[in-house]
Amino acid sequence: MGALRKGFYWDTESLIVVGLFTALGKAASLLVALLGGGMNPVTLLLKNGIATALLVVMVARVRKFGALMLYTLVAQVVSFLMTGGIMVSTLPLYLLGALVADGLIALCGGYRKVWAVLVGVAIYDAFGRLFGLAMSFLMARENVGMVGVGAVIVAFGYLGCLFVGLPCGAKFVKELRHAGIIREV
Amino acid sequence: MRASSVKSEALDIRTRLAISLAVSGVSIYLSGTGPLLALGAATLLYVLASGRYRVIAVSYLAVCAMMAFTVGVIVVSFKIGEWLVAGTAWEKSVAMLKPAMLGNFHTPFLRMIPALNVLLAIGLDFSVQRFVGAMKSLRLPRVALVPLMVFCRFVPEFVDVIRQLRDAVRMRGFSMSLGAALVHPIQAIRLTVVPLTVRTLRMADHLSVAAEMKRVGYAKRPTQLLALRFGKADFAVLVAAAHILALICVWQALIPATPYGPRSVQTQEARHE
Repeated sequence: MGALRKGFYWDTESLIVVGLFTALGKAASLLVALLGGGMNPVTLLLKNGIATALLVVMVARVRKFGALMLYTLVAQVVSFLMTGGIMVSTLPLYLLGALVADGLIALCGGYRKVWAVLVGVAIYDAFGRLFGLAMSFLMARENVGMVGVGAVIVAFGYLGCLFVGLPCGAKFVKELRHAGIIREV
Repeated sequence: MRASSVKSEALDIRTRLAISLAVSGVSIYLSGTGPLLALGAATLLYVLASGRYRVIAVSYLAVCAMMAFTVGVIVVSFKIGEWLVAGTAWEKSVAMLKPAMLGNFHTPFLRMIPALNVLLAIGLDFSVQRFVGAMKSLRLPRVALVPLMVFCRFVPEFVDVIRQLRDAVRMRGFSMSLGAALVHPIQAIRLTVVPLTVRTLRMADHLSVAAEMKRVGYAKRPTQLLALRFGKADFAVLVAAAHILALICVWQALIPATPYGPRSVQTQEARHE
């Protein structure tokens, strides 16, 4: 084993939390698929809602500037494996969106305030969906209808994020803080 | 070189990741039917080398079903739209949209095929150990490496946890179905997501203590259990892939593209002039 280094900004616990929540997000998609079958409005709302709620919990637990950027980096490498590299070209844009969301959380009072985290995650999700839609336009630019179907699905998913994910995330964070699983200070 | 040595199984995972990246980039650039077909055929040969014909056939069927569903939704939605605006001032506008909405379904589909093939080539021979080895050998920073390793190790664990959760919910007399989620959405979330989240956070606590004790991620050079080798087969496949992709790109640059692509629109306008 090589020499050991000290004083990292990202401690091992934060890195593990990010990795675990990325894995949980993918596994939760499987759970929703088992629960709701194929592509239908309820499944879409639930899937996006659960993903957003988990993201809120993750950010509230990690509580460090750059948490969303790190999550984006890991999630994009994972989606590189799952979609065959198509989404990698948008990585800089996704990172920029995450940076804006992280900056917004910091400006709104920091990671200890639940509403600041909610605002940041809402903005992050909006950026992610926009970039995803731009990518689907590149993939299906010859047929506007296909991009339109994608836009409807993305918009519906964002409704799930706003009206299911954020309230559930806020509630989870409150309860987990009460239970002492997420630290308040 | 023996043909068997160039089989997909013999390739380093880094070679496959590089090919996936390059093919995906090129497939976005391409818009002509010929070049896309050529790329699809070349990548199909590449994935067929794995010998997993049944999985490949099932994957193709799934993509075809997905595509048929999408096309069906678009056609039905457009027909409903046409029926709704019939006889109104919007009728002309909707008629003008028809070629863009209902024409050229095949190009996006053809663009999906190479991406599917290279993805299958990775997925059919994927092992967590090899992937983690590849990530370590790429000298990724600790910030990216530790979460990625955790992700790779714990997705199967979470799938198992979800199965246990489903059994536990059934034992308590509740149902895990779409109908149940519709009737009792809060209960569905409480019974499924809350235990998962709490378990994940507890798991993070235990894992981080174990990782700190083992000083995971603190070494200058990560320890590799499986040393990856970049062999002659990798070199040969990469050179062949680079040549094929370059030829297909040249073909795309020389030949006018699909009926509704930007290049062909220009061509049609030029013809009218």
